[in-house]
Amino acid sequence: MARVMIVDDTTLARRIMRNTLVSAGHEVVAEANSGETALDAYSTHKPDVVTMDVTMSGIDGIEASRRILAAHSDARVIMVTSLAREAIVQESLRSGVAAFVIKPFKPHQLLSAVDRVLV
Amino acid sequence: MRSDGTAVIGSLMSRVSDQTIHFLVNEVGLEAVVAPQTGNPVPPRLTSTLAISGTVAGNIALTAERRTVSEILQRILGDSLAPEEVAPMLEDTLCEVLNVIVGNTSRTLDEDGVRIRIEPPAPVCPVLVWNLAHSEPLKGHRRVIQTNRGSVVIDYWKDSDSQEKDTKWHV
Repeated sequence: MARVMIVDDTTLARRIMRNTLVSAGHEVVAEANSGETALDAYSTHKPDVVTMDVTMSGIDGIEASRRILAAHSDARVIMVTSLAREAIVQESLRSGVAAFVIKPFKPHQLLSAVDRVLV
Repeated sequence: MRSDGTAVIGSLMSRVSDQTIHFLVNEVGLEAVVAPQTGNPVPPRLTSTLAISGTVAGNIALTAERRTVSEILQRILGDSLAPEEVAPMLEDTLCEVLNVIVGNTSRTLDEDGVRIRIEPPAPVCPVLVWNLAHSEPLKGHRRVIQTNRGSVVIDYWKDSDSQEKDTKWHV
């Protein structure tokens, strides 16, 4: 089971992901509603996996992922977004993101992405 | 397609409308169909809006009755939602729904070479959007969707900050 940090600017999205992860036995160790708070929360909690939204005010999810991965090369980030266009997928992969989940997602899609990045 | 043409905006609105119906039917479990533009949501209602830029630029707003948003929230979260949590989460819920709908729309538009960048959604005063959407230049940029739990309205309008760019795409 993984220790997960959820980064998303809406309460609803964080709640959906928390419910999905906890029901599968994972532990949600932190939630962040912006890229800025995610950077601090990562350093504090050192989660096994981060789920990251793309569209957020201030530092967006791609930049936040880039900064987390620059500071913690072993970080595992899953992008969870409705913006799964080719350009964004490519940019995310270049930033080091390990997996992509498209909103709205089915529970097994998020859970299998978590399992994949933990291997 | 011309970047400022009604064809692009028409395509955008049709796809946002299709994605809204898809979301309401398949993710929420409501009945939802395109309705005549007379089925406006009655107060109390909520509105969320976001700005888009790229091949087509402007603002997209989603307006729904509070009872409709409440139904969406409760169907999504089910038993995990306490009754006292519903009201404080309604604006947030409409923002997330709009974000998902326009995000999914952008993916289908991208396949046709129409690229849009999306700013984070925010709740706004419904009257503000209502007045904008009823102004003369905006006629035709509205879609109404009727559900079995009230109506949902999608509005598009352009303002002085809206900028189209047909240049290379940047994330």
